[in-house]
Amino acid sequence: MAAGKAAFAVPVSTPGPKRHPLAGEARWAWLLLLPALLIIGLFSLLPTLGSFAISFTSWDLLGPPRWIGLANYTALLADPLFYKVVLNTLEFVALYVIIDIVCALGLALALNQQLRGIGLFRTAYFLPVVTSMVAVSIVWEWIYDPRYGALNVILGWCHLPAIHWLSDPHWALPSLVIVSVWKSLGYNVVLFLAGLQAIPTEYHEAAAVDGATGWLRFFRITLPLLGPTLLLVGILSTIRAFQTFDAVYMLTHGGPRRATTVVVYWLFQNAFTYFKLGKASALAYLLFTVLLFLTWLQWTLRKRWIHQEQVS
Amino acid sequence: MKRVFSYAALLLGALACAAPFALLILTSLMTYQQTIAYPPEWLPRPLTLENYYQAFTTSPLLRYFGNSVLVAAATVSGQLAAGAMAGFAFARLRFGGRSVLFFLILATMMVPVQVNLVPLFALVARFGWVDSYWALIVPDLAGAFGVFLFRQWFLNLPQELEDAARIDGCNPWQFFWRIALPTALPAIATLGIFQFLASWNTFMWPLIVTNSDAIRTLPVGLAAFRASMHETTNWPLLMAATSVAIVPAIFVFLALQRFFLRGLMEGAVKG
Amino acid sequence: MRHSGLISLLVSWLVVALVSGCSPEKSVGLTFSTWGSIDEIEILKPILEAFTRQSGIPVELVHIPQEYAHKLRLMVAGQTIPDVMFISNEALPGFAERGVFRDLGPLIAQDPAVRLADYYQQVLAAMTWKGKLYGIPRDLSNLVVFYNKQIFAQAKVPYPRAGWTFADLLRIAPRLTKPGERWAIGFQPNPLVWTPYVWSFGGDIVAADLSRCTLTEAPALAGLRFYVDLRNKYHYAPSDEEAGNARMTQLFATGKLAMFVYGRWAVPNFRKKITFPWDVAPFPRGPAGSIVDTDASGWAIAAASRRPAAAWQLVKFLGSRWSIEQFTKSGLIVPSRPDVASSPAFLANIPEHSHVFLDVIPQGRPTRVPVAYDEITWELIDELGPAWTGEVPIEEAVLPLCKRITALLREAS
Repeated sequence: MAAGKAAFAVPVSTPGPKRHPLAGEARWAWLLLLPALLIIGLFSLLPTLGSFAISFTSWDLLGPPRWIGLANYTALLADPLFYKVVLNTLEFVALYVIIDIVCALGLALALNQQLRGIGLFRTAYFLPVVTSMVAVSIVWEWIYDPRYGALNVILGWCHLPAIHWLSDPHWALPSLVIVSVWKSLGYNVVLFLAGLQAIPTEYHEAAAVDGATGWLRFFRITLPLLGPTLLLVGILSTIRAFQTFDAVYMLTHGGPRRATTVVVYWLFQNAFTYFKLGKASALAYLLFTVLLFLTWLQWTLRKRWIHQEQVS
Repeated sequence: MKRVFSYAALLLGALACAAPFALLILTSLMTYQQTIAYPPEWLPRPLTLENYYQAFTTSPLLRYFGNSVLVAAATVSGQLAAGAMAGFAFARLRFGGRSVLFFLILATMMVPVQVNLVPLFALVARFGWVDSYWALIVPDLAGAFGVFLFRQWFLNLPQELEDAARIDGCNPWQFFWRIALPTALPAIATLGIFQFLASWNTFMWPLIVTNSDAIRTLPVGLAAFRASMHETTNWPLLMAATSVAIVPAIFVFLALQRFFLRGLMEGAVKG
Repeated sequence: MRHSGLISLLVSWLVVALVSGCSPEKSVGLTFSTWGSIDEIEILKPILEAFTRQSGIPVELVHIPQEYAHKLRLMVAGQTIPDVMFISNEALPGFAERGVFRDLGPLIAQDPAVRLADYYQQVLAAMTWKGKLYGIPRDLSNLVVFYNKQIFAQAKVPYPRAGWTFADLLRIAPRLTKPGERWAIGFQPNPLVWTPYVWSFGGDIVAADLSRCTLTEAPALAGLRFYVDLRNKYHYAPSDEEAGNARMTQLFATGKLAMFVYGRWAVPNFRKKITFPWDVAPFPRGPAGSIVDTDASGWAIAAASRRPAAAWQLVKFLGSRWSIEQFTKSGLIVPSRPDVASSPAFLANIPEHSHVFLDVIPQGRPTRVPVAYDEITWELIDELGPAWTGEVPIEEAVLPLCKRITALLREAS
């Protein structure tokens, strides 16, 4: 989630005009900063650099790391499984982001019209967000149970054949997408709702006077004005989807036939099951590069968007 | 007509979100025999609390629970203290290297946790912290997000307050402690609940650094409990244990959801 | 007083930062790690207590029920390695290669109390890596056929006996099966259980020199095909739906399987739970014979242990006749020592034909353990899953699997 938090923007202003310093200001500043700098420096900055270094070594935790240059990166690029993992990840990300955005936007639009009981609905949508993925995975494993699970029972009522949700290579990844969308839907509903509520009602009123229908209004007014929020939700969801792990660990262990081995799960396996820590670090840095690009994209696009809004 | 449609959509969504929780609670109150009846039954008959009793007596669930509380309490306090102090310094005090430092801290927010996993483990192992509370707590005692949140908050502090502090001849600590911090209650609540939930639900790191039941937190303990049922899965027992992990997070959320949602909204809208 | 708030905060930070830098206090006793079920720990505890009474050395038990070898490696990296470790022959090479364990040779040479001749030669070989012995063996583990005598009697089928064949299995299976209710034989996707089919048909998973995967060769495929047909063609073994929530041990214990292939460690539970008469027989013969695994586990000492003398005392005690007898009496193990194996401790209780576990040792074969053993095992379970359920023909499933395994073997060499 670390990358997700980057969504909070940075104001560029600095406090106040020139003034006299408070007594011992700089010394106090360092004292106040000390704990945060110590912890963040030691346990965040240092490991990020360390990871880069380890990615050029062969290391199994038992002996000392051995320098092997770019071998981990070339081995990854030559490994057919690497491409399968990348494809799995992209498939997961695409399915997850699209379904999540469509559902969340739909619910947010329904919520955004002065109905009674909005708070109650919002709370209901938010319950999955605040619970542990490990815990809800256990519940979903029960729901997905081929014989006794709720989903197949419901399919049975509709006279549809049972699905082996987690053990069928075709269904395993979509099953994980369902759990993940369910888990984070409420989060995106709240973000969309905030975006919708920020749209001044005059636009809609003016459009209504012009006789625009609901759909037309949605596509011509709501959607364009919702642009920044859509972008934010899209990129946050993408970053989150790239980092998916808990559900894979609990529900499919990356199988069947590697159908659900996504990049972070494979990273974990390489690091802490196969003890190929150099290879895992190389993989981590490839992932990092992709996420860095997405974050950069988010920042630049937002800046431009905000700029445009201020101009218009 | 449109309202009916909206309500229907909302209800369907709420049902989908809440149904798994209902299933969780209902199953946890069933006997094992009832869960393997075919066709499946939905309402517990007879209703039993036996699974909860079993969950607490046959697994170290209480210990996991206590560990989770301890780790959450420690990291929330750490994050609040370190975040408020550093955020204040970045927002209100002048010192050399301020922007470089702040940029560095901000940069750590962009690094996915998985990137740091291997060296972080190596570091913690070097300290001899594997399978100890230290490994679970210390790396999470401060974070860029907390620093950032408090910096934002203190940047918006009215200049008059600072001027008043100056006139009174306060030193920076007094300015922070007596004047700035008391205004920051909403930021404290927001970071507090974010960090509580993050700590309560985090899985990958505790999975790697804990070996023994004495140290495990709820998510890892729960995963181990699930894995220990390799012969047969006793679903009602598992559901009872799972609900113990889920319910506290929901209560904390319900009690503080105002701050939580506001934190989210502000983050989203202000950008 | 004006600075007290700040000062106390800083002090507490410094305390956290500095004090925690010191490693936690070491207890005076030996640390000893093991895996195993709660039942197994209950057997172990009195033995450790007896050791402490006799030697005055307290032992702190580190019980790691899951992912034992992984956790052990993390402990090595974290410098919290236990003094004494229970270890299986599958996990031993990886650690031994890196010098994690102490070479027991010199200790045994100086200690007249330990005689290697007291142990089966096969288990000593399994605890040896590159000519050095790293563990005093506890047990030998292999697979046999557990069978439900009641079902055989009802179906008027003679019990399986040494020398019975795969053809015999196919001949009697229809009479032991009642579709949807009772099955002739169990089915497990675990490589441990299906490897004997491959071996007994003359095939193997990897070549003897660990250079490549051999699952795509005809004998191995014949074994896999035979196994998968038991379930998907003939329905002599239950499908996943039919097994439902239950694993094979449970199906057998509830009288729903006439036979199933498994190891000695199931015995304590079966003695407690099973009400019908049951026994064990050797695995059936195939074209290449009746070949099952000969694996082993034992106790190793950390090379980094600060108390090697005390650790050696513990390992010696655990490997002694008395201690091995205690493990054996519970039914948990096939003992590593012939003296215990030929004693009532092993032979007196049910199953009646416990000597079957010993009879199959000469034809047994140790599991081949390449460096990437964990990764290969994972691939074997994952890639073949859809073949076991019948979604993909086994001949098709092994192609990408074998390619992958060969690549992993090449990468390691």
